[in-house]
Amino acid sequence: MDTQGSAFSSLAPLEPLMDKCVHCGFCLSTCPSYLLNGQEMDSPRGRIYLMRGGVQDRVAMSGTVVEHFDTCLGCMACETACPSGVRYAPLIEETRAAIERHHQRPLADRLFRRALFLILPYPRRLRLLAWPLATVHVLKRSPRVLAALPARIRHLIALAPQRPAGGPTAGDVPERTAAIGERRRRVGLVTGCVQRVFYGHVNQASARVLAAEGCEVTAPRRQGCCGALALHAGRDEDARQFARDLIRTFDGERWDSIVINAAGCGSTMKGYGELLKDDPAWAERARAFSSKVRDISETLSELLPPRAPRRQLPLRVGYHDACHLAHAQGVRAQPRRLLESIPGVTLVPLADAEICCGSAGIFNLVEPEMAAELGRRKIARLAEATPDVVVTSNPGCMLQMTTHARTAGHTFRIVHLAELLAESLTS
Amino acid sequence: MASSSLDTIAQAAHARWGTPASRAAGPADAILDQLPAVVLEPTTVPMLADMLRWANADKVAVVPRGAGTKLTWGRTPPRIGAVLATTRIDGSIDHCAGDLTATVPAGARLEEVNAALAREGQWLPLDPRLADRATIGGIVATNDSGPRRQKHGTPRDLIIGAEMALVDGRTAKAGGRVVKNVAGYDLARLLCGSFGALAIITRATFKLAPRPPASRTIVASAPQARPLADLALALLSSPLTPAAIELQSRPDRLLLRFETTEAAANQQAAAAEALCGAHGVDASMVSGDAEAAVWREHQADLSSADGTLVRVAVLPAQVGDVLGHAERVAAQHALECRVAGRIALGVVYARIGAGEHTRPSPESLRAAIDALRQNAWARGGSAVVVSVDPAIGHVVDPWGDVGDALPLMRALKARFDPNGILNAGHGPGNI
Amino acid sequence: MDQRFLDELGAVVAPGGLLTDAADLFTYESDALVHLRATPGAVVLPVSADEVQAVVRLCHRAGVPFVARGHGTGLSGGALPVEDGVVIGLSRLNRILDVDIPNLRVTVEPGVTNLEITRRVSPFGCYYAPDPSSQIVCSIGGNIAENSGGAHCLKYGFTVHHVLGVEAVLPNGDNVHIGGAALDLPGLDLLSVIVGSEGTLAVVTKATLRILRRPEAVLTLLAGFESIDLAGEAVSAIIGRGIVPAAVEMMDRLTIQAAEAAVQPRFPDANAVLIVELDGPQAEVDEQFAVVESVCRAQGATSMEIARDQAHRERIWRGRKAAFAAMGRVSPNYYVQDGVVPRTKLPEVLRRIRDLEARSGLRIGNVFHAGDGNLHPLICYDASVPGQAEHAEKVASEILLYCIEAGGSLTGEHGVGADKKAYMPKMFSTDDLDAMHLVRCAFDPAGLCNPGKVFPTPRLCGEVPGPYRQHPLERAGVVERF
Repeated sequence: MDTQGSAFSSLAPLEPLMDKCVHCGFCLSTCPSYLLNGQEMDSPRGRIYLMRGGVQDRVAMSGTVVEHFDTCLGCMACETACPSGVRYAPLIEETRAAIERHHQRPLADRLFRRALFLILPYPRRLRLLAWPLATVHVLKRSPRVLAALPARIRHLIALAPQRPAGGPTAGDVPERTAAIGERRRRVGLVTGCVQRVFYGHVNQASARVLAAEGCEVTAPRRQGCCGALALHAGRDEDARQFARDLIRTFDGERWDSIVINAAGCGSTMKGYGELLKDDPAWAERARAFSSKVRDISETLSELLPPRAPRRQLPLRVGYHDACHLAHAQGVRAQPRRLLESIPGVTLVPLADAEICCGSAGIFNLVEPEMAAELGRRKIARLAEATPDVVVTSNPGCMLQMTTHARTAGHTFRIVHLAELLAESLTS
Repeated sequence: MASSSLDTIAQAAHARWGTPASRAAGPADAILDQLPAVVLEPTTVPMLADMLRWANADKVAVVPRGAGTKLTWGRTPPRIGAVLATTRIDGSIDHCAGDLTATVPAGARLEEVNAALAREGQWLPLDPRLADRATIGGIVATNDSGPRRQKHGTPRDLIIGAEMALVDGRTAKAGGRVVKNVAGYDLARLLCGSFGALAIITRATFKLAPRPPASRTIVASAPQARPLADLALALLSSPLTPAAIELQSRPDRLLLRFETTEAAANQQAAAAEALCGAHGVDASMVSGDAEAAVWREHQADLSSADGTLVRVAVLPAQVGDVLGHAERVAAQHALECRVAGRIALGVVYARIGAGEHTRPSPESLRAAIDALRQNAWARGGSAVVVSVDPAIGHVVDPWGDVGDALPLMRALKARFDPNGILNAGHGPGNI
Repeated sequence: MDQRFLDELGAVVAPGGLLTDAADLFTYESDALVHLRATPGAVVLPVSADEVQAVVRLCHRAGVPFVARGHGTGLSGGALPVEDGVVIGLSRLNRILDVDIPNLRVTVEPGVTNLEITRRVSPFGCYYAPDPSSQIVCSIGGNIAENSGGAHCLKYGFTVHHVLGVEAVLPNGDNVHIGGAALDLPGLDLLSVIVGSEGTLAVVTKATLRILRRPEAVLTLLAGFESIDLAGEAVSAIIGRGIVPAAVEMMDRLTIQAAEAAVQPRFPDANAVLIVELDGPQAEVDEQFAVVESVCRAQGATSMEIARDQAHRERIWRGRKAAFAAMGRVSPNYYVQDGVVPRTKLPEVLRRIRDLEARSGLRIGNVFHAGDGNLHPLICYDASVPGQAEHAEKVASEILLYCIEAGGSLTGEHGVGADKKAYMPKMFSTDDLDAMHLVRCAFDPAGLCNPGKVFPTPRLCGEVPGPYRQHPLERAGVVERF
C-alpha cells in the first residue's frame, strides 16, 4: 500500500472536473444508490462533495467514506442527467484507484474481491467455475444450507445461470465468419469473458447477424479480458495491462471496426485512449484502437436498412438500456432502430428506464442486498409494460434481470439484441 | 346588553369621529335582529385603522362589514359593539391591463370593479352570490365564489396581494402586485375565508383574466339528479374545459357553460351535447340572451335568502351519493330540500325549508343539518351553514368540527387579535 | 451535540436513520446554494411520519433547532442547516400513497419527486401541473415549502393552487391535518401560509394534491428574434390580445449557447428565443395559435418552429429547463438571480440590466418566465479571479433592487431562505414583517423550526397576552368579551 501523501491527493489534478459540479442535484433522482439509500453521501453530488473534501483535507478516507464510494454502481446515469456536463466516470475511477492504494478493507472483503479478480476476467478459469456453479442450483432446494452461507456466496448462487454454455469450449464463435453476399465491413469481434462463458450463443448470434449484413467477422482466438471489471473496481494498473493485451491481440489487421456486444466492455475499450494516455509506448495505439470500437448496435444500424430478409416476429418488446451503453456511450437510438426493423415487433416504453438494474459489473457480487433490491424494482417496472421479450445489450444486465424475473415468476424472455435479430433472420 | 351601555360606546365613538363617520345604527344595520351600538363608516384607511385601535383598546366587539350581504354566515353574531364598514373609504381601482392585474379597495363592489375592468376587455372572474351588491372585502373574507369556480377558482386562487388593518391600528401589506411572488408569508391568502377574524382587509390585488369572446351553455335535463352526477364526472374525465358545471334541482338540470373563443365554444358545446346523448340525458344549447337569462335565474336562486343554506363539500365522485342521502334526510324530517351547485368540484348547496308556509322546527332543522354533516364527515368532507333563517339560526352550529388544527387556528387568532374584538366567535371554527 | 440527545434521536428512528459521522454531516452542509454552509450536529432520515413526529418532539423538548430538507435542490439556502442543529432529511419518505383518478387527487409523502407524480398518473391522461425546472429531482415537500411554480404557472398557478391538504408536524411535535381531499373544509386557511413558508412553520409529512387532465391539444412555438426587446414586445402583444398561454419563456443568446452546449435542443441562432406554449381544446389552441403566429411575425420573428408532438416539445423544453445548470458550460461560475417585475416593466428592467452588464464587466445571461415577469439573470464570473465572486454577488443584488423599484418582488420562485432575508426590508415595512411574524409565533413560538430564514433579523415571540383580565367596560356590562 502506498502511504505517501494524503489518501485523496491523486484526485487533486481532477479538481477542475469537480468544480464543474454546481450542486444542483439533478443527478440524484437517476442515481440507483441514492434511490435506495436516500442519503446525500450515496449520491453523485454527495460523492463529488466528499472527493473535494478529501482533496482539501476536510474529509479523511475512513471506512464510512469508502462505503459511500462502494455503493456507486458506476452506471453513469448521473452523467446523462447532469446539465453542467460533469464527467463523473474519471472521478469515480480515480477515487476507486485511490481507495485500492490507501484503504485496507476487512480481510473477508479483500479475499472475496481478490478471488473475483482471479476468476472473472479469465474466461478459462470462469468456465471451470461455471460448471460447479450451474450445479449449485440444487442448493436452492435446501434453504437451510443456503441460509448458512455468507450473503455474497448466496447471491452468487442465486445469480448463477441455470444453463451453462455447453462444454468447455462450447459457445465459441469460429475465428472467421465470411460475409454473406458482398462484403461491406471487416470487423473484429471482442467476445468478452462473462459473455463468452455464460452467453456464448450471444456471440454466435452476433457473428451470424453481422455476417448476414455483409460483415466479415474475425474473433481472435486468444483474446482476454478488456479490463472493465478491474477498472471499475479501482484496479487501474491491472486494467491497463488487460488493455495492452487486448490491443495487441487485435493488432496487425486492418479493421473497419472492432465490434463488441457487451456494453460494459465497449465503454471501457472506447476509453483506452484515456486510460493509456500517460504510457508513451501505448498512448497512440490505444487511441487508434478506441477510435475503431463500436457497439454491435452501432455497426448494424450503420448498415440499415437490413440487407438480409427478416421474418415476422409478432412481439411486444421492451428495450432495457444497459447503463454502459446509454449513459456511458450515449447509444440509445441505434438498438431501438434495429428492433423496429424487425417486422411485427412493437416497442413498448419502460418506466424508470434510466435506472440501473443493479448488475453493474461486480456490484451485484460485492453489494448483494442493494443489487437485489434494484433488480426487484427493475423487474417490477419491466413487468408493468407486459412485454413478451425484454432486450438488452449487456451480459451483466441479462444475468441480473433473468435472476430476478425468475424469482418473481415472470415468463417474459430476456435476450440480447443480437439474439432477437438473429431470430428474425429467415435463413 | 342594556341600551345604556350601547349608548356609552356610541358616545365614545361620536366624540372621536363625529358624523358621518360615526352614526347610530338603524334597522338596516341589524344583524340577525341585533342592533350594533354604533356604525363606523371611515372615509380613509388611516381612519379605519384608528377606529380599530380604539375598539381594541376599549375592547369593543367589532363586526367588519362591506355591503352586509353575508353577515348571517357563521355563528349567530355575538352582541355587537360596532359595525365597521369599508364602503365609504376612498380609493380608485388601479387596473394594470398590460400586467393582467388590478388593485381594488375592499369596499368596492365586485360589479363596479368588473365594469371598470371591462373597458380593457378583462375581468375578475368571480360570480359569488349577490354579486351585484357584494364588496371585494366581503368576498375575500368569506372566500366566496360562484359557478365559474369550476374554471377560475375562488378569491384565494386569484388574490396576489392585500393590505390590511391590524387591531393595534397598524396597517400591513403582504404579497404584492406581481402574479409570481414568494417573498414572505402569504397573508393575503390567509385572509381569504378568515371571516374578518384576523384583520380588516383594506385593499386587494388580483390577477385577472381576459374576458372570453364567446359563451355557450348546454342545458341538460334528467328526471333525477343521479344521472346528472354521473354526467358531471364523465365531463371531468373528458378533455372539455367548461367554465361552469352547475347542478340545479326542481327541475333537475345540469348547466354546462363554455367560455372561450367562438369556434372553441361551439365545438365544446357540441362535444358536451354528444356526451349528454351518450348518457341518455336530454340536452339543448343556449346562447345570447337566452343563455344570460338561464344564468340570471340560477344566480338569483343561489342568492336567495329563503330558508337555510348548507354548503356540503365532498369528493366529486361522492356527490351522487350525497344527493341521494339529502333526499332521504329531507323526507325523514319532512323538510323541503333542494341541492344545487358546483357538482364537479364536489361543492353543493342544500337549501332547507325554503318556501314553506310554516318554518321548520329548530329541532328538525338541526337534525337534518347534523345528518348531512355526519354523512359528509364520513367521506372526509364537511357541511357548513352558509346562511340561516334568523329566527332559528341560534340552534345550529355553522361549522361543525374543524379537526385537530383548531388549537393552531386559535393560536393564530390570539396573535392577531389578542383581545378578541374582531368578529369573535364568528369566524371559522367559532374562533 | 449532546450524546444523550443523539442517543434519543437514534432510538426513535429506524437503524441507519441517524447520521453523526463527520464526513456524512459534511455532505449536508448546504443545499443547491453552495456558498452558504453550516454543519449540522446530526442528520436524521426518518422512514415514517411517526418518526418525524418523534424527532420533532425530541428537538422541541431539548430546544434544539431543526431544518427539514427534501432533496437539497433549493436555490435560496432554505435547507441550510443550523450549526449543530438537526437536519430532518425527508428523502426516505418517498411513497405515493394514493392515486384517485376519478377525483383527480394523489396523496404522497414529501420525499416524492415532482416528476414522479406526473409519471405515475400519465397513463391515465393526467399530470401534476407545477413544473419547476428541477422537477426531475425536487421533492413535493420542498415544493410546498417554497410554493414552487414553473414554466406553466402563468396559466395553471403555483403549488399553493394544487395542494388540497397536508398532514404536518408542528414545531411542538403535534400532528395536525390541514385541508383534505375535499374542498372547502371549514377553518382558517392555514394551508395558504404553510405553502411557501420555507419550512419555518411545520414539517409536512403527507400531502394531497390536485392533478389535472392533459389538455386535448398542446402546441409549442419556438420563435427566434433579433433582440430581447422585440421578443418582449411580442409577449405583451400576445397577452394584449386576450391570450393567456400555458407558458411563455424567453432566453437570450448567452443562455441559448449554454443550453445548446449542454443538451442540444437545436435552438435557432438568434439573439432571443421565445417559447410559447398553448394548450386546451383543439379549436381554441388553433385559433390562438393563429394570433400568436401573426404577432410573432409582426415583431419580426427570424424563425418559427412548431412542435406538435411530445418528443419535439420535450426537446425544446429540455433546452429551457437545463438552462441554469448549463451555464457551467460557458462560464466557470455563475450566480443565479430570481426576481420579478410587472410584465409591462420588463423592457425597462432588462435595459437597466444591460447597462449594468456593460458597467460591471461581467456577462449576464437572461433566461426568464416572460409571461409573469419572473427574471432569472445569470451572472457569470470566475471564482479563481480574486474578488470576482463578491463583485458578482453585488451585481446580482443590484438587479434585485431594480426589480423591487419596478414594483416587483425579490423572489418569484426560489424563495427568500437564508440568501435574501436581508433584502426583505427593501420590499416590506417593519409593520408588514411584524404581521408575518404573528403567523410565525402562532406556529413556532420557540423559534426552533428552520430559524434564521425568511426574516431579516432573528425575532423572539412575545407570549400571548396572559391570563384574561376583565376590561372595565366589560365589568360595567358595557361590552362583552368574546
